[in-house]
Amino acid sequence: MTCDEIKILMMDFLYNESEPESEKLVRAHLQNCSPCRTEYEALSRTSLTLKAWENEDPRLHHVFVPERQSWFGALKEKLAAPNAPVWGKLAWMSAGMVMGLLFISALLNTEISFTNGNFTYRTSLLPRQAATADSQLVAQVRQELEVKYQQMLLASQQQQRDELNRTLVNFATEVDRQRQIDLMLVGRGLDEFQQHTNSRFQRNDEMLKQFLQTVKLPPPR
Amino acid sequence: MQRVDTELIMTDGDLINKFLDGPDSPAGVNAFNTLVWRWEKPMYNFILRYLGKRDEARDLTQQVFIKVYRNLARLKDRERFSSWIYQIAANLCRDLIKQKRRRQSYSLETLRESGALEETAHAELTLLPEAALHPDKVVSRNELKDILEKALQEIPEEQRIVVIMKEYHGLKFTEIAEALGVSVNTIKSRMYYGLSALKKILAQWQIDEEAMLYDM
Repeated sequence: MTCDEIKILMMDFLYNESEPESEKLVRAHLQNCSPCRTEYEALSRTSLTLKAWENEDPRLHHVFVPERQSWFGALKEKLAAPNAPVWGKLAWMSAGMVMGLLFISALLNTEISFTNGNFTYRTSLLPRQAATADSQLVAQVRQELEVKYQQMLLASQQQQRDELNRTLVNFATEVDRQRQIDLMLVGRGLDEFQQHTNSRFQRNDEMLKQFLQTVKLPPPR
Repeated sequence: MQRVDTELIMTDGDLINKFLDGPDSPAGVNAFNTLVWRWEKPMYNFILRYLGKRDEARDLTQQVFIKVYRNLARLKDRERFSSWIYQIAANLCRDLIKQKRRRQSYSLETLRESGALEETAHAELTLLPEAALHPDKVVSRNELKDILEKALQEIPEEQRIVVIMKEYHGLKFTEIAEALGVSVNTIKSRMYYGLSALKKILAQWQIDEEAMLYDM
């Protein structure tokens, strides 16, 4: 066995994983081959040196807690689990079938009605009658909304007119009041002016009389 | 957390079966937590030795158990749990290394542009362990741990992972091969070259048995 071939077997030998046959081969080779023996001893020492790095305490304490399940998930687990009772599986299958039927019925626009003691069952791809009923209802609602809208519009217009009238009346009243005040002030001013003029005329008359009394006019020729 | 005595002596396979019987039942959750408690330290130390970063090791340890929790039902052979969990951890480590390489390649472009790349060669000298700079010094166990941490990061990833699994976790070559998805002979070859590389690195740094001072 060559030195290159012994390298792989040397690893088994180093870590006590050799088969009895290969162990004998390695032992024999190491006894006779000095470089391989030196190599083996060096690798053995390196392995020993590596062991000096002991495991560290991670200071981790992971604790897993169960996930919170929805009521649907819990029910499914209870009824559809592999070890669930037969009635549970049947219940789960029945629920599935009912859900499936409801889904298909919804797709086919199924109508079931009970009138005068008779069940009526109808399916159609297009919900025609329902559409007619719906359109009538929509038209009726639209008409009612139109009437309401017109009423509200009229009420709003009336309210605006009343508001405008009130404003105009208030304005006219205010203008009239202001005019009355102005006229009163003008009248009062005229009175004062007249009194003042009269008093000045009287004073002028008195001054003229005094002047005539003091000045003797020559007799007329 | 108080662990039931019977769970402590149960095998991983039994714990897995108990968990899978009722993953949300108190017994199932307890079984899984016992499994976590049992594997937390080995996983953390495996990832730490592979990546060399404690914070990353903590994050990835958590991710390992989340993956285990989600995928345990898919594990057909319960007795293969040991290889399987190391496989998960190794894949997560590789993914992280790839992510970091992608980010590094972007930043290297920036470094080249800024001309700062030349400085890194000089900076690497400072990363050498203290003992390498002072060969006559006797190293303590803590110092030796730092040296080994750095030495492991020096060897190629594919050899490093095999050395870690074998030296620190005592996995058989067949288990390592199973976890990494390669042949047993390839694993033994990687082990040989990894160990040889470490021997050379430690010799360069003047680390031998005489340099070790076990402070026990």
